[in-house]
Amino acid sequence: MNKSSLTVSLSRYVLAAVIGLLVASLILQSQGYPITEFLSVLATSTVGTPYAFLDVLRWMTPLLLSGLAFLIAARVGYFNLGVEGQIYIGSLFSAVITHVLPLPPVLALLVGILAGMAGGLIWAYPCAWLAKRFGVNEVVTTLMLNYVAVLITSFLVKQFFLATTVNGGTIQTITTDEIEANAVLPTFTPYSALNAGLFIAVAVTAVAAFVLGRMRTGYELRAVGEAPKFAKYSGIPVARRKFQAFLVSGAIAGLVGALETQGVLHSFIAGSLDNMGFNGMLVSLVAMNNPIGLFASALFFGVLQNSQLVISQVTTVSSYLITVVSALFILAFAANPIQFIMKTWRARRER
Amino acid sequence: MSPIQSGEDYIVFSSISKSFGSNKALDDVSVIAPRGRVTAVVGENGAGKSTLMKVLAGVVEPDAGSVTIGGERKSFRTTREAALSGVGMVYQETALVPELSVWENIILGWEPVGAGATLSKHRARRDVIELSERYSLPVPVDALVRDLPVSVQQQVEILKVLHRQADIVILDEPTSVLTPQERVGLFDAMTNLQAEGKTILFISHKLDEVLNTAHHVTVMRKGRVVASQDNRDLDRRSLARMIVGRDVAPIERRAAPALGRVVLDVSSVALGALHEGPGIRGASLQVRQGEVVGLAGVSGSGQYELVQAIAGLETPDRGSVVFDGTREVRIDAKSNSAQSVSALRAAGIGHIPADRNLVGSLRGRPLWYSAVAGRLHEPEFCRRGIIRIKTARALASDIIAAGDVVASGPDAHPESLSGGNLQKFIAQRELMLKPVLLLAEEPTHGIDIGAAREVRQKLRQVAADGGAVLVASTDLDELLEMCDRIIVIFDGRVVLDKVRAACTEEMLGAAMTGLDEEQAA
Repeated sequence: MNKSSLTVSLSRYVLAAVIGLLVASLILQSQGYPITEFLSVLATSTVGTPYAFLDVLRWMTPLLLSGLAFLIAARVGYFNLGVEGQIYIGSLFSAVITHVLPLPPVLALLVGILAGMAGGLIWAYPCAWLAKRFGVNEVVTTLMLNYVAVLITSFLVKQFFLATTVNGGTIQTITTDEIEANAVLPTFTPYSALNAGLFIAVAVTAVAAFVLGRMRTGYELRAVGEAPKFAKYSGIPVARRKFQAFLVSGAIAGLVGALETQGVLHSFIAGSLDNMGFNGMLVSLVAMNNPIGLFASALFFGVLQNSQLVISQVTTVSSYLITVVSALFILAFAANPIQFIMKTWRARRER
Repeated sequence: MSPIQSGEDYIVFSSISKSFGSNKALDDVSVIAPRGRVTAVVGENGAGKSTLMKVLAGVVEPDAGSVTIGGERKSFRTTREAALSGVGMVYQETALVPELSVWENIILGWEPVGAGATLSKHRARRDVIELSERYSLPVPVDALVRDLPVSVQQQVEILKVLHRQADIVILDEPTSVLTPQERVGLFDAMTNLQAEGKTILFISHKLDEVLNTAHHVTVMRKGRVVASQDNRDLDRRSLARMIVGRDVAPIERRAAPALGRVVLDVSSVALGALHEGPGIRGASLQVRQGEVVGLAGVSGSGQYELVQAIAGLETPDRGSVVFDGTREVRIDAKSNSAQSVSALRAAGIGHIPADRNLVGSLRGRPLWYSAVAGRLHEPEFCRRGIIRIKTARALASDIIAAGDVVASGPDAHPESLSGGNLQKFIAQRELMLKPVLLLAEEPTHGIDIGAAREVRQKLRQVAADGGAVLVASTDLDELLEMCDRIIVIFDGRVVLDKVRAACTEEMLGAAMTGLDEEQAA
């Protein structure tokens, strides 16, 4: 990317953020809430205390990986809307394996993570296979399997893995028993849920960025996604690469579930993973499907998600306002006013 | 009615200049096109022909100069403005919506509106059918555009312009994708148009069709007009000299070396139709080292399917293809096509595909992406799975230099190259492989005569160097000029296989249209 196009994309983001906040302020104003308070909560929750930013990074972790999961499928032309469900399955797999198998420290951690990835992969497999074998539209299959994933995990937990209370009774929330301590990803401070999962997420994304950008595999995936006929002509096994990318996408989604289970929740908790996959899709779209851009994009959404939790705790403002801000941001980003401005400006200069 | 009579000056370009960056595409160009006549604009790739036509069509705004039509000064800012004034342009690369049917594409943007502002489908469809009959451009009105071969897509483009009731029709190399038969159809259509008083401007590389159809010929070279005159005073040789700026010698045909071993053995290959037509139904042929073999046929006769099977892109239903290059590769019904392609490439097959945009290059990415097509298994371009961008870019630069391609460099995107230049790039890329067998589909499609001669000469050189070439082309003159042997496909079968010396144009034409078989029967 050259310098001027970088400036253009950066201004695209900045403008989108400004528009998002501006409209949110108008909404606040009309409801009689002080804007300053809203903005100060937004700032405090992000950088106000030494631990605030750690919480932002905590939310960035799953967003980064679910963004990556979406992006890898998108590279070959698949729209994996099933990241959500694949995360659920990954989380459950990880929670069950690490609870059932008592393993030594590092091994327990690894086995849990691999189980999660396997879960995500297994959930993506039928969609990938149907798309490859019969050309079934993956948007439909992945989206539908999300519902199945959410409900089947709850069902399985209720039937077989429901947590027991200390005195042996059952509890109300649909949740599994706590996982073995050996399988838990270490946290940095007791004041934040941020854990070693961040390093895994960053490392995986960095490796993926390198593979996609510099390696033959990345070239092949790009060719398959952007010019399938050219890919076939070049001797790239188009169908197989698409299939593989779909499964990798599912595995990375499963990894998100595993990291949530082993890093933050320490069990499978129904309802605690809502929208994580769909937010990943937004992260990837805002990053314009650029793996390096995922970092900035995930950080941004991390800030929003973190402040969403804080805002409802300390103010009377609805936490949904943060959803409104992020929705407005994405709208303004997708509409791309910068492009329009540049075009008019150029046209005027040429006259 | 217009006061300007047929034959009088109608469209006047005066002193048009246009630069793209430092490149002067048009330099003080003045051209006059008479009303109701066919004016041909000829010249090499990048001579400025398309740019000049785009000025008229409202696509390009000139830096200086003006256009008048019938004495009225016009400056169109958009194609729609131009279309409303009766100027329509058919581009070299089609821009149709693949998911829509033919008639939908034709009316798109100019839909006839029925009662209550609804689209009157029935009327629209009927109009399109009428139009296609009137101008003898038979298109399947209900077929989806994506299912049609390029040649039919182009006819749809022409109909689209006609549907907009263009008074001035600009055709940018309309015949480059048409078969001889279709070309006749087009020329008939042009005659019809002209009979209705329409003015036609057409860009072409083909000397014969210019000489046969145009009343007035304008020759451009490097952004300037070098000649603008009546067709009467022209012949092939003088026209070719004006275009290139020097004499164009016929390609050199050195005494054929003794033919070597069989490198390609196709036996009874059958493959269902990929577009329209019969597909290929049991074709056998052999190609030996040291020969250039031509594959002739009316488009849709099955030669496309045959080439796809030979290239390993499609698995044949029956029969086998055995390629004996640096090692033997056998393709039959049990083969996996992705493996076949890479095995063939590794064994020394080169392939210039017919579709340079979707098959031959990776659009939207720097040229070096296209340059390394099928070569990433070579350690020179990819080591330990990591692409060596430096050598890949160097390869792209080499191809640009060796193929005489006009491109800003290895980072230019394929879509920024003119059609002819991209074709040269792809042809040169395959030539750089030093292939044992080079499959060439329409290798000079859209290239000007000077460059086409270069490409043909290079293809002959492949054979002279001990390789073999199989050329599929709808241009009979090209095949007669460069081949040692010509094979004609008709209705999915090989109907003629003769050495060049024993072939005449009439004989080939008869074989291509199945006249031979009828006579025999």
